[in-house]
Amino acid sequence: MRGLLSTVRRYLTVAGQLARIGVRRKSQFRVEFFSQVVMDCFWYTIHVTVFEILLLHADDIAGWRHEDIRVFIGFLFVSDAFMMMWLGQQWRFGRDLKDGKLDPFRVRPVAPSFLYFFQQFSLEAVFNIIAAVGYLTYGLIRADLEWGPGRFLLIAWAIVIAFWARTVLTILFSILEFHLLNSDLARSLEHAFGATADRPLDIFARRVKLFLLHAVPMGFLSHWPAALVLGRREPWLALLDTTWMLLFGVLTFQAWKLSFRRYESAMG
Amino acid sequence: MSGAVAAAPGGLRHHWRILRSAVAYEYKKAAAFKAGFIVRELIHGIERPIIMIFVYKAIFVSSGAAAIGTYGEADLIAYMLLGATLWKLVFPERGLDLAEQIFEGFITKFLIMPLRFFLMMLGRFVQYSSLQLLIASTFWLLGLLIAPAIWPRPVSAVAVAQALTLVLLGSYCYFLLIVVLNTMAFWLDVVWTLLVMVRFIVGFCAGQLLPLALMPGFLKTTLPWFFPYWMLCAPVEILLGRLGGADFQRGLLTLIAWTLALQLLAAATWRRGLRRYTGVGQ
Repeated sequence: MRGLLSTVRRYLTVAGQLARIGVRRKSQFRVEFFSQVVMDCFWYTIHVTVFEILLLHADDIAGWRHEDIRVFIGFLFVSDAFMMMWLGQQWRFGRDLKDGKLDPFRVRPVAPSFLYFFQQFSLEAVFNIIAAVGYLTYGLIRADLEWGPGRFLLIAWAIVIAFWARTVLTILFSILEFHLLNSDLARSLEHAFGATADRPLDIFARRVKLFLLHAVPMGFLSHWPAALVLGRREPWLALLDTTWMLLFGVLTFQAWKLSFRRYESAMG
Repeated sequence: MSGAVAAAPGGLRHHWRILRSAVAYEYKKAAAFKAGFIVRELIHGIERPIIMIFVYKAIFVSSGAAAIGTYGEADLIAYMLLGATLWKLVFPERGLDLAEQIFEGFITKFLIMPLRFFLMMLGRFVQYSSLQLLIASTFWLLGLLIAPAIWPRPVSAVAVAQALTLVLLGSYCYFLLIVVLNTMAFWLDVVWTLLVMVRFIVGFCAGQLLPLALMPGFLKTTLPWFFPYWMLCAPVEILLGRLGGADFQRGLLTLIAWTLALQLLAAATWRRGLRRYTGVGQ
């Protein structure tokens, strides 16, 4: 137990240092700072607008009422803001691998995957996460839920799993780059599968939904957290899902670690 | 747009030779990313429209209605599939690296060469459009072979010609807008966020996910004044036979006006930006 606590403390210390460096870096690009905040607000607005227009023509989408959709979008925004805040380096992974720029991450006070993917802390995304949490809160208030300590626990549980899933999926897609160098596959697949997280999974057939929950778990970014909080997922099933997601994550990190052995300093 | 130091020599033949070489090099670059190239080009622009098909199907099931706006279920599926096909022709916002070159101070070498720098960018547009015409045609034919029952067919050959004219001209407008945004790098440090922001807006206004017929009244009257609508939504509706010759003419005039305005704007921002350019990066 003491060993685990010490490991967590070490990871948090490294994350804290990366955040400090990220804040310093942003003092250099002032216009860029506001520009990114505004960009994400545009993304939020267009997302909300598309759903609002769709719901002018129907009372619900695959059983998700207007109130449920707001909670769904809220979780989508929160998990996206987490990605923007911590995982921005993922877009450069293919290029860095090709250019042999991963050497410093072999020297590891923490896991190379953590050190690499969490290195670009984005201060502007802190503002985005505030906006995203604001929209989620609005959605939850309008959802006519019964409030109590249990509900807050469910929300916290949902958010933690959404963040975990975001990290795991980033690592998962990047593994392909080790095996198909110069393919840009991580980005292409992230785009392709990422689109499925933008809509409730109930629009798909059962098998596709299961695939997106358990094989390539995009559903854990927005659908599953919203379903959990809205009571659309039985607690015992949610526990099983959580166990699977945690296990899936551990397996993904192990696969990344194995793939990292293929890395040579002069890959290109 | 001319270089700052050397005046570009005249002569259409000279410009044509440079453009041809630029297109050839752009093809070589694109082909260098083999695995990524195939996957990227197959997936490019189709994922969201295809997911929207499932959304529309779910809406039809839950509402029990025969039509949403003026669209029936089969029409909406056809709109999304043709939209995904035509979107492949639209120049991508990351298609130019001009902003990075300005930021790094790399454009100096082009300014002292006897060529118009704009030709280099135009070369990339020509390469992209010609390649994507092939890819979009292949994609459409594959769809027709795999799912002939649902795959949409254009109403006539004239409709295809009209739709392609509008898409390519609209794509050129978008390309010019991207050039303008890239030249903002002379004043701003980083412009990728501007490019992404504009992509969100253009995608929405073009009707990538929602046809104009489904939008609220004020958007229905406003959007046809802007080029994105004529770049995607209108061409798809022409292919489906929902818009006719008069609409094509209005679209063509709108796009020509936008092309002229954006071409002038691109030349102006380039010239003004060059006055600030120091050649040492930022």
